Amino acid sequence: MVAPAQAQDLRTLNTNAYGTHGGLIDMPTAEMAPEGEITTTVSHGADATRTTVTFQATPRLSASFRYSGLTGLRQRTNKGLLRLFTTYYDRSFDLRFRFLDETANRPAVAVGFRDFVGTALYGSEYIVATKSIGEDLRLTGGIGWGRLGSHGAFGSTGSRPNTILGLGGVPTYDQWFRGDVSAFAGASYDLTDRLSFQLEYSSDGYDREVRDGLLDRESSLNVGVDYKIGEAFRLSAYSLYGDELGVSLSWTMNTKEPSVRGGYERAPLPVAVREEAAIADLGWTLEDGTRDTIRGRVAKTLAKEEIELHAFDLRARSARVAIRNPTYGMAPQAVGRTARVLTRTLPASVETLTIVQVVNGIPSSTITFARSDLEKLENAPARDILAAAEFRDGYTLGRDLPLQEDAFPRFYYSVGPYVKPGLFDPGEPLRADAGVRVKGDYQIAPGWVASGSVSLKLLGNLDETPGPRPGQAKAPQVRSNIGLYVGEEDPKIDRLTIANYAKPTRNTYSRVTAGYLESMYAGVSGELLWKPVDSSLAIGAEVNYVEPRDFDQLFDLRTRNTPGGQIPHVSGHLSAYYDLGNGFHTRVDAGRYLAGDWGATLALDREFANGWRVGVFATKTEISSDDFGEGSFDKGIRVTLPIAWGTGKPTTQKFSSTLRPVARDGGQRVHVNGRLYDTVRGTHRPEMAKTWGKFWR
Amino acid sequence: MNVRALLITGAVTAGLALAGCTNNPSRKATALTVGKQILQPGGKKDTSETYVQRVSREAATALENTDLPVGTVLLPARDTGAVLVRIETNGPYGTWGTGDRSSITMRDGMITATRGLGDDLMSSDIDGVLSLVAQKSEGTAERVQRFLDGENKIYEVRTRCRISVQGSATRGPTMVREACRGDDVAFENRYAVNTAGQIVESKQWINARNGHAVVKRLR
Repeated sequence: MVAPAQAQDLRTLNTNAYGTHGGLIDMPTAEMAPEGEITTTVSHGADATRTTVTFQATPRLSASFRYSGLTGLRQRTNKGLLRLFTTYYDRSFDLRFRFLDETANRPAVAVGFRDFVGTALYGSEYIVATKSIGEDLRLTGGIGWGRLGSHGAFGSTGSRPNTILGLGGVPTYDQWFRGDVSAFAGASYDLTDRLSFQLEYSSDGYDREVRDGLLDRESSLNVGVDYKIGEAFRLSAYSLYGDELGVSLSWTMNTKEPSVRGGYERAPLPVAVREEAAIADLGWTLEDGTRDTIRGRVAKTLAKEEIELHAFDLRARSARVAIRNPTYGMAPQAVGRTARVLTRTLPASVETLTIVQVVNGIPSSTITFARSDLEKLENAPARDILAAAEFRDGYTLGRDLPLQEDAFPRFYYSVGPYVKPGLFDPGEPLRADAGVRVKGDYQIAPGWVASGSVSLKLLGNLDETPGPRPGQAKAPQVRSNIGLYVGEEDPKIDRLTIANYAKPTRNTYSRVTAGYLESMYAGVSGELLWKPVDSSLAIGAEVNYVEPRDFDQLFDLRTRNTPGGQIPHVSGHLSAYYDLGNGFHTRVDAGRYLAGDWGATLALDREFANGWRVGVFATKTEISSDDFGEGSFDKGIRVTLPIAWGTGKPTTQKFSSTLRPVARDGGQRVHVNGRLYDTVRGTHRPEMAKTWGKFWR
Repeated sequence: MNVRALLITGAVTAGLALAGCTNNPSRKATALTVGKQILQPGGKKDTSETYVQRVSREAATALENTDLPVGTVLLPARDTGAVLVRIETNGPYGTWGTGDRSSITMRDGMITATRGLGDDLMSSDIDGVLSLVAQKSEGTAERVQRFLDGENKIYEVRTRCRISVQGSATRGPTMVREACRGDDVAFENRYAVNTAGQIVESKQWINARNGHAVVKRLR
């Protein structure tokens, strides 16, 4: 059975030598991968080994990040000198957009940018059309600029500058679609389900490689073969320009295809329908101790569903039940299971059920159901019970509930291994530390959490990461000296804080965190968030007062003076968060960054309802490109993977990672655990509505 | 089972500090639990006896030990099956549970939902087809089945189903066939309907992962 309608027109999981989806070798096509696909390709050919991650963000839009190691390349420096690199590492970004889909009589047409930021070693733009002929044959033709216009040009559109903007890291907009234009073409043919062949005519002159003696361009024709090893793996081999042989291996997965749809978890308890006659019976309210018996039964039944009862208030006709959800990554499922437990445990006269979701000790939302709706709609589409549910701010109904005895204090610990990677240093692109980490969380009283993490490095080479080069620093060194922090091998205190979370008024949330906030800074961080329960917009403000920690990451602090200037005490931001819909989310922060630089950060994330997130962010502050150094301004990629997507078992656990091509001192923020937006958002209506189908699961 | 998804999570879990021990219920996924699942994706397999033998043996025990309605379900596509005991009713719907806490919800013997199988049927609209099948009448009606997609959003599988009666038995149940067809999907269900219009035995399509459910009502 084919699940939700999705155009599978001109889709492919094959990638080319640049790691972008397409059936050819060096040339692009208008093919796209299925939405949500993330493919990693390692290719080796001629002078370069490229590792590329390509993400199909929407059915028409794909983005790639590539890390290439080039050998034997001679680079012309600004002073006109030649430098010979043993291995030169280069980062590049691609974007492709298909603006026309294929029809019976028309090819699909896409526009693309290859290596469109920074040094643009592979810089090229193209417009390409692909048409399928029958099931197995796909023909491609296009025109290209830049490298793709460097052989057999038939015309030109102005001149293409070859200067680098800023200190790299800036979009090369001055080059786009300029200079010589050449045509390229190709064909791919699927011989079997696993085996396909490619033939292409390349418009890439490989000028630099030829000049540096790395490749003899004897032919414009490349041929290749692609073999699908399994659903996830593909292997390709191809000839390059009659001189070299290239190979590539790709590995692919889809954010929209979890290990099992809907999860493996056990069945929920069904709704228990009341008998008409029992509803009017209020006799139970007169008996002593009945409420405690019922409270105990609710707690026990919820525990079987792996949900924790936090607080409980039972009246003759209504009940308010506060829960903690340590289990279900999809909040509607926790609420749905709680609602069903309540239909089985509360006296029949109780008609109004209010479920309060408690996060960090504060009521982040309440959802009220009529019990008769739960009875009536158990077998109806989930949207019906969503329409009948009433979401309210936690301030209205969530406060002053009688707490369970075991609600506070609670202590959680965990001991486990950790791996901390350090990427993209030109001397050694992949470094890592590994060791053991102990974490503890002590929930002291409503809203009060003491939290700590200590790690002991067992092995690794992160300490070999070179620090800032002396005399180069133009701004206080707030991050670039991270290397000094990883040097010591003693146990390190990653963080040790006490935090208070509160709900000062309707629609607002607050946080104050004090202590050793992160590996490099100690201090106090205060945050206020405005986020109505049914709003897609949130506004936040954060102010931090910090002192740099000593390099050994124990209890000492160190001087704020650095070669680039004094690290200021105060940084802070105003933030706006907005769910754009269709799986996109944006965030803008404006304020003062760690080095005292004023500026703003723009972030855009592609969010999948199952918890996957892939996003980009960029920060521009008053620090000029020249003073910022390599990369010109701070930017990066971040990814969140929900563990339940892989295991099929419900869990709130996620793995998140942020990748910065270059970490410098401009546009940096202090890291604080428990920032408010992500902790409360999941319990609010817009977010819960996305996966409301899980309510009855 | 999407092995790709499981493998990456296994790698991530193993590599990134999720392993180890904890008392925190929200941090239970360890490298060990993920690893186990990679090695044993579908859960335990029956060994000495076939699942069909096991289910019939367990059904006999269940009939002795409970007064509740009892039945059996087999999922041949997944080489498994279970005894069903009706644990709850809600109007015309009955929810039947298994020993390992999966459940099937049926209306007069026609499956409307499953839980705990993975890729579960979340709800169904079967008014039209059920009334034709129960009355043993030929005709065509709509059927809607709802599932969760990979993002946990509901999608609907809409089909048009033709009900045909396979000869009218003078004694015993009548065989009724339901052939459904929709965009990208086609399946066939068979029902044995008794004189009271109840489905006593059936073979009903759920989806590609779970295949057909062979359901038999014993009491």
